[in-house]
Amino acid sequence: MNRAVCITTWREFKSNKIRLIMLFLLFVAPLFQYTVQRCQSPESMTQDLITPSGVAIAYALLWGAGVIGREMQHGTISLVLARPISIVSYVLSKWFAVGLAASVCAFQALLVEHLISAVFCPSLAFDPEFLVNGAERVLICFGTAAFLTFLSSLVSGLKDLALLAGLLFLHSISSAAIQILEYFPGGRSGNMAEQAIHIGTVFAQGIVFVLYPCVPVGYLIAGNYNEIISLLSYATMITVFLSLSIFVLTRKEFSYAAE
Amino acid sequence: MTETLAEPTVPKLENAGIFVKSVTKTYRGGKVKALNNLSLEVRPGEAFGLVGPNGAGKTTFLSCLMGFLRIDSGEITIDGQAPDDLATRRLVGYLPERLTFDRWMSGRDYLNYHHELAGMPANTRQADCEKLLTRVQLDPAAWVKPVRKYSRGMLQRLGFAQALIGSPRYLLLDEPASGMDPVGVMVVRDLLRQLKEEGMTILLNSHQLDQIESTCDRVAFLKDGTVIKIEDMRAATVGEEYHTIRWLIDNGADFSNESLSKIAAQAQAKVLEYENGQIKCVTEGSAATAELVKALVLGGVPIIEVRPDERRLERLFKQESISGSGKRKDV
Repeated sequence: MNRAVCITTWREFKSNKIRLIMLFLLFVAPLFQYTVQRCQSPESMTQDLITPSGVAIAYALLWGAGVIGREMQHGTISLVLARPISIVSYVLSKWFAVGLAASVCAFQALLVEHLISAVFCPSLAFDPEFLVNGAERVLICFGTAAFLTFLSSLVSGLKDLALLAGLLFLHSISSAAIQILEYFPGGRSGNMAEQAIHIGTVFAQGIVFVLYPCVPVGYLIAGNYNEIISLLSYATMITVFLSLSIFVLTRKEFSYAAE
Repeated sequence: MTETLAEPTVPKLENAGIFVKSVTKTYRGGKVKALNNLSLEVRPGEAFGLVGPNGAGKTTFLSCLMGFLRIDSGEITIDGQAPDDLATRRLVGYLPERLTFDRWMSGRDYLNYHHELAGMPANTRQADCEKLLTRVQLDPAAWVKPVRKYSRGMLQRLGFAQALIGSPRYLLLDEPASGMDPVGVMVVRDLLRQLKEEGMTILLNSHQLDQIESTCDRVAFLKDGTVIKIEDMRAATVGEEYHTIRWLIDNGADFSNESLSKIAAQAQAKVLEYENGQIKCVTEGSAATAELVKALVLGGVPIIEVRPDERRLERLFKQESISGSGKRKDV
């Protein structure tokens, strides 16, 4: 891990006013929404009125969009890699910088929300649900950061967002196709349909696993250690995406000479 | 007078230097041959120039030396190690032609960033970076400005400073004076001279032939991705050379065309044009030019300038390059 690369990634984010405004909105909007709900019915205050941990994906997207792609687009990556820094160190630094920054933001938002919730409903002041939510946010941030690091190593600029949108679109299409095929089972093409359903389901589950992960922190805290497999799978997914990112960058050539 | 940084240590390795053996590099799946069986050697402490028409493969070659491009075949070693080895990267400073900076940073921040990337100690960071910025004569007022507000010349100076971080043993420069004003060109020229005196090995790719001629010990002519000639700039030239020789005319001395032609003939030279205060003449190489100057001085001519009408490299470039189109050869 390289300290200079991490710090520069954060400073670059700080220099982009549009991203800062989006970060502010992302921080304020859920807070405002849930605070209004609490004000309307403070007596019915429950853990459901905590912003879901999935909001961490948005933080990670904001911090990680184009994390490597922008460097490739501007050509700054070549001068960085002209220094004694390995691609492994570069990728890990980028991932860690995005994951940590998104985690801090997501956790900070939760803390503020926690304080407000505690004011409206003192019984929630030490609710473990907040801790579970926070831990899930951190895991989701680092997982999404790994996925974005991989997408960003494939394309230049912010095209990784387009790739992500494409994947979501494919997910919707495949989900719809599965429903249609399930509605018309049997017939001459019964086996083919079953296989298509199977492939489509695996694909859709894969995307859900990456983008909307079910991180079983709550179960683990509750002492259900069978769920540790899910956590290990998630860690494996992070490792696979980072390895793929390193592989892709190792195969790339960083020179304008080819143009 | 500009300050000088710590002298780079001269390598004592047997295989010190840059060795390039039969390197081939193609683009577009082998359709375009950028480097074609290119071989050369750059010795430690040497200033080596690369000259050639556009598309000759000079930038591709420098990118291969930096390990940015993977060669199809052949071998490149820098001090006996592969160019993409992390140990090699510590030895090499690089200035690309296309300057790509983090434009939101200030010049000073940018150097600090690369100083840290280069693994240099944090306690000398500020001092080292300021020394480098001073050395490339970047206006101190610009140090704290965002790089996006820099002119092309300022960017070039910053890029040069970046390349000098850590006093690298090898300096690869791709058009270092491109887009610079005359003062900037002179700064680069003086820097190159100083760095050469300090023992740094310089590989210079430039279209400014006078810059290469004044800096480099040897020059390689590249065409269609291969070295067609390596010229030793320290060796005497053979063949016709045209010079303009001017002398002081306000000291009462009067030199006629006849008297000067007679002196020139003694040195196997010939006066082509005469006017009061200057002659244009032709000699048979650099040794004959030296003889002519000596003969004129002994003959009492108060010479103030001897100027080649066509620079040596310019003449060689014409010979080697004009004959072809200079376009990259598709295979």
